[in-house]
Amino acid sequence: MKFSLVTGLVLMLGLVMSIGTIGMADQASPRIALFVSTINNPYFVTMANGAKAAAEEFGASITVFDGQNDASIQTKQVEDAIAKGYSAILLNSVDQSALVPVVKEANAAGIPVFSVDRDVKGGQRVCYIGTSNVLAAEQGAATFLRALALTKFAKPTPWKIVILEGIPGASAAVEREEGFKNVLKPFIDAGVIKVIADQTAQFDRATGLKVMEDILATTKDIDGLICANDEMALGALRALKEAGVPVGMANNGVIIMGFDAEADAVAAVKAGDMVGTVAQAPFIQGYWGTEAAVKYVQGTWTVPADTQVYKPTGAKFIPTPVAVVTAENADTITTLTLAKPPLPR
Amino acid sequence: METTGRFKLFIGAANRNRILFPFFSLITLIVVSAIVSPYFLTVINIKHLLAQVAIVAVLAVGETYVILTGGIDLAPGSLLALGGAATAALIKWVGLPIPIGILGGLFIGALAGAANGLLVARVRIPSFIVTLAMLAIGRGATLVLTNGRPITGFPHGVSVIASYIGPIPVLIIIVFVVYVLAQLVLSYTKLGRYIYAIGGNEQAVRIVGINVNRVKLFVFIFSGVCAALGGIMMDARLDSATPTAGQGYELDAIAASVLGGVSFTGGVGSLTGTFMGALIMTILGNLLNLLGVAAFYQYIAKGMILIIAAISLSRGVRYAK
Repeated sequence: MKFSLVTGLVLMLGLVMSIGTIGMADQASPRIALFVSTINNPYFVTMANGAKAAAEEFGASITVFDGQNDASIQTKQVEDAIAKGYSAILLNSVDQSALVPVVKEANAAGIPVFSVDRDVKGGQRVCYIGTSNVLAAEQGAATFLRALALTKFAKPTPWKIVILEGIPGASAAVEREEGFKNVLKPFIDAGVIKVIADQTAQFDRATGLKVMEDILATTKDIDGLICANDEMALGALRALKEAGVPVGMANNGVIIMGFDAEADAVAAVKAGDMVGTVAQAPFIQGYWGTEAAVKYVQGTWTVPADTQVYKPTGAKFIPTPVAVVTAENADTITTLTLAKPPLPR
Repeated sequence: METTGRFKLFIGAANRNRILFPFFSLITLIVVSAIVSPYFLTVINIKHLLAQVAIVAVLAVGETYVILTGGIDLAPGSLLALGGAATAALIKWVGLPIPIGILGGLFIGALAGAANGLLVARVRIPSFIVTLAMLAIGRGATLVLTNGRPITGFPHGVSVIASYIGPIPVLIIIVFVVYVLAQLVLSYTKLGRYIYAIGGNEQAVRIVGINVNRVKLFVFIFSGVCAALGGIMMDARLDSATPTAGQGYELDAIAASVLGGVSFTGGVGSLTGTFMGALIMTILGNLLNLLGVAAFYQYIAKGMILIIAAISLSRGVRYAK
């Protein structure tokens, strides 16, 4: 049993050391806690990077907590952070209702809360820094429709489209679906487009591939594909290519629209395989969130008086830029998504 | 007379291996699918099905080995991602030749599996806990390695793994080879006998003086290698390694084993059954998509059909063990 003793000691030592390094933060500068819903997604990695960049620039320390898409885990993390007395909390909530109680706890402890990318429905937030998924999805769907019409005008209607949705019940999935439908519904009702499949692919690339393979077994007559994120679009693109179905405007093929402007998707847009992807600005969300929190704590910034209200939740809303990446602007998009525009004041 | 006698013998043998009921479930599912969807028995769909079943099937081989010894492995989904990402990084970032990259990925899988095996066999922590920890560590290591982003675009050689020879996916050929080798080990080697024996009665096997720890270490290493192989297959299929790959696949692998007649308490089951279990799982998802069943109802439908399959299976349990 020597072995187990040694293993145990090594493990304990590792644990203690890792906790030690996390705990060592400069006490004088503001200590910001960023709670992301999951780090298991490039989008939130970029957000964390934006937050870190701002923390470095404005002389604060930042700790990133991974909520693992689990409201109870995130609740516990926020509670722990309140106990540890962070200067400010940046919350990218897993769930817009479940996190309300803990926001109220932070309010009671006098720690300012900023919601980032996803707001909560109650408690005091200084402001909500993010984009409206519904509006962004509407912009994506409009670009999709335009490309569809430009490519398929010679083909008799109805044009047949496939919609791939995100994880059922997730707020981003629900709101993006709403945005898509807002734009597409009139055309569906008028018989210009026909939805031949409306399925979930769980925001996942492998699932996107599988679902598209299954759809392709029923028909190859597909004119358009609009997806609630890029991962699914890229998986489906792979299935289409594998089956020898032409894609892109140049080939008079399937018009594919994604969402999130992931690097792989932007490359696919440049290659002409996808017509576009909606770029939100996670970097700016993280950057602005941290900048606002630091300056708010230091008393050098407060929410501008003319700030609009985000209707779904009633928070003061500082919108971050949205752009649809297409072949025309794909080269300049990194400057937009990694830019550091000034925080509105 | 002769034929009925043989038939009875066949049924008897199938029953002892507990593959009779999985076989009937599978046939029933295929017949029903063919009736309700005209697209089910088309060449393109079967081609896709075989490619889709490959990854779950390969994870299920390792899972079956572990379950046969009376353990459970919750790590395959994460180790799939880790093995896939390691191979991708070695090929794409380090610039190693493809075969070396693949060996590297498999080695990482083996290493993680060995950690599981040592903690289970030597430190005597229940496998459920050890592999639950590895599920978290594997996913975390993958995220650290990839920085949370997909690794995309391999040299052409990788996509050969996901290509087709006629309508037959190369992936399913790999799976076939793995199954045949793994079943040969189970049926015809001492190691195979020990695996069954440990699942049947670990204490007795220890008393006889067989090195149980070494067998357990082996099954977890093997499961880790299978998971990494699944990850490499996934790399080829997607032409990219995504850090989120394989989430929840361990449950599919466990379900495939159990639907295939592998006893949850160990000691009973076969890989033929496991492969049929993997087919049942894959056909279910395929059929629901072919029928265009709405996402919300797919979850319910999948659960219900699984229960029906499990009920038909449970009728066979009294014959075993």
